[in-house]
Amino acid sequence: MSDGLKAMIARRPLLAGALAALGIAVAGGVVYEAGLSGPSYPQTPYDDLLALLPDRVQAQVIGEAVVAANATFDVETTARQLRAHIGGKPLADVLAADMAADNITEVKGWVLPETMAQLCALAAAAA
Amino acid sequence: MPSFLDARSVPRDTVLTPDLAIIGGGPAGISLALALARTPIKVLLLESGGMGFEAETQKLYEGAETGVSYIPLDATRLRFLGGSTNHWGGWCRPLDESDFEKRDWVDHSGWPFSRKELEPYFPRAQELVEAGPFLYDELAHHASVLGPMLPLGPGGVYTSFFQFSQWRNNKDHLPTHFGERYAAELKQVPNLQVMLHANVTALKLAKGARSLDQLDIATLAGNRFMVKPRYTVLAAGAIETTRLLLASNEVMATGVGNQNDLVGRYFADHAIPRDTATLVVFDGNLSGYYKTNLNLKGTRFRATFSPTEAFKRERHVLGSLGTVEQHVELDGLGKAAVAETAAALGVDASKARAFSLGCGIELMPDPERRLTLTGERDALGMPRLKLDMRISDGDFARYRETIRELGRQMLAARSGMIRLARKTRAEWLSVMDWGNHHLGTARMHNDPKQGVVDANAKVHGIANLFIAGSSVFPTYGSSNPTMNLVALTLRLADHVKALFA
Repeated sequence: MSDGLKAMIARRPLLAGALAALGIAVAGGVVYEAGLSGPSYPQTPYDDLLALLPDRVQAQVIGEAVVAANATFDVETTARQLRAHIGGKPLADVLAADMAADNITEVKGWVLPETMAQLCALAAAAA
Repeated sequence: MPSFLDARSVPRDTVLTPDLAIIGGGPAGISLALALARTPIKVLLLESGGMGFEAETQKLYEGAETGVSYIPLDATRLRFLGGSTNHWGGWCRPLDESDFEKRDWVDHSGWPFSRKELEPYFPRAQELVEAGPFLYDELAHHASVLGPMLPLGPGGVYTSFFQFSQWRNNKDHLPTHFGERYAAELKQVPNLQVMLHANVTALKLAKGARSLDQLDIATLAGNRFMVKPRYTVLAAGAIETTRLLLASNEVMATGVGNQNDLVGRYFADHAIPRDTATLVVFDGNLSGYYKTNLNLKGTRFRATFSPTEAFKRERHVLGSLGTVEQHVELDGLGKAAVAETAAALGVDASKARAFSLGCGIELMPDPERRLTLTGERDALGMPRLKLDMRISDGDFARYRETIRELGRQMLAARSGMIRLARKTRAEWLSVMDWGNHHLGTARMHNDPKQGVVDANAKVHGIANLFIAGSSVFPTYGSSNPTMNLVALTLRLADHVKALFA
């Protein structure tokens, strides 16, 4: 066997390894992308608001309790009021303002900022 | 060492004539006797029990109850030298300024003097209860040595501090039991005679009902004799004080000091419903002194949550304290609420821990929460009492508002959050307990139509009868009564000294 052939044979496993590694990287990229985008939800007219929530599944659990306790809950009205109240500000800032203004509510005893409770209610209504 | 006298050995029909008779050997009676130790005043301290628990003597405390469930009257106190300090928890804290004030949102509120009047007596009271140096809320500047304080945003609740009585040289670290602790000192007082097993069964007024003439004494063994003191201090606790005043109706048909139907009314205690709320700390790090009492700067102390004076005035709430109790697990909603709220606030709650919150609640003064005599009689022939115990929805609501404010402040500080566990009256009553702090049945007021005793703790209309103890407290905040009633008794001691000067 010539030296060139030996070299080619020696490279084949390396090449295979390299291609396999590339495949893992590509697959990993897909998984990573999926992790970034999170679980998908049907589109709603309130996605601009729901996107503020850290975890819509958790929010729905809270929101169901909010909606259950409020017979007059109206999703459109709530969304309109929330947009006006939040006004593009970061959610953490809005919640801090809620606390400062004593704008808090109780959800099955849990003391929450009002905006938080309403966003959660929206998540439950949109689910 | 001289010993105490035993009433069972006093010759029948003897008449004793001390300068001052003290009825009751609890913290008030013992503090008064010790405060008068270096005076020429001849004092006779009359204690119903002996040096330890005796079942037959304790039975004298039995009584009936109606209304909201309360601790049986013979279980909520102890009848031997030292009184209820023989089973107290040792919690100490001076009353707040607002506890003394006339507040337009608190019916029947207002002491006849301000907190400043009691302040000179707190240091000695602190010594007597053996709670270490007088620090209390100053501990906020030192507690971080043992661990961080829970951050709270600006608002109406603050971290308050209790100190604990600790019986000096007691190997079990018990709170000070006044009888056993001070027995040796009492025996050394030259002009003091402590008499055990001496039950006062009647306060006999002189003709005209302007002064107290005689005390009838009886023992369970059947001995009887009399005491004719110049002055008398009734220091038998809020319940027994009521019984003795009401039962002594030979001259005044309504009972001694009861010309305005006030004796026995406004009975009070600290309501301590259990598991009133869940407190979640986002980072899971809650210093030990919130959960139990720890040593620091020569005292044992514990952190609690109390309404500020400004919050009490603004929201019209009364005194209360929140205490962190044991670790609890959260349900699904709780886990979601904590995770979602913390994340929205930008806080990591992966190590969050939850605790149940206990409390002590001051009740709104209520004249219908009262003690009255019944037709039943005890082994000495004295009428027994009935307690009509009450607590209003407002009492619960005011405390709830305070803890809600604590929740807001924890969110504002991004340190944690609160779940209020009780809302309906039925929910509150299902977890009720009481502090065993008996207060308010012989309240202090300058106007005889509004109080049984005046600002000097003298019974209105009776020249030589005083009352010591927490029965004279018109309102009482969230502080445990013992240290405060000792301070008030020391103030009375100064007044008694002046009478004999």
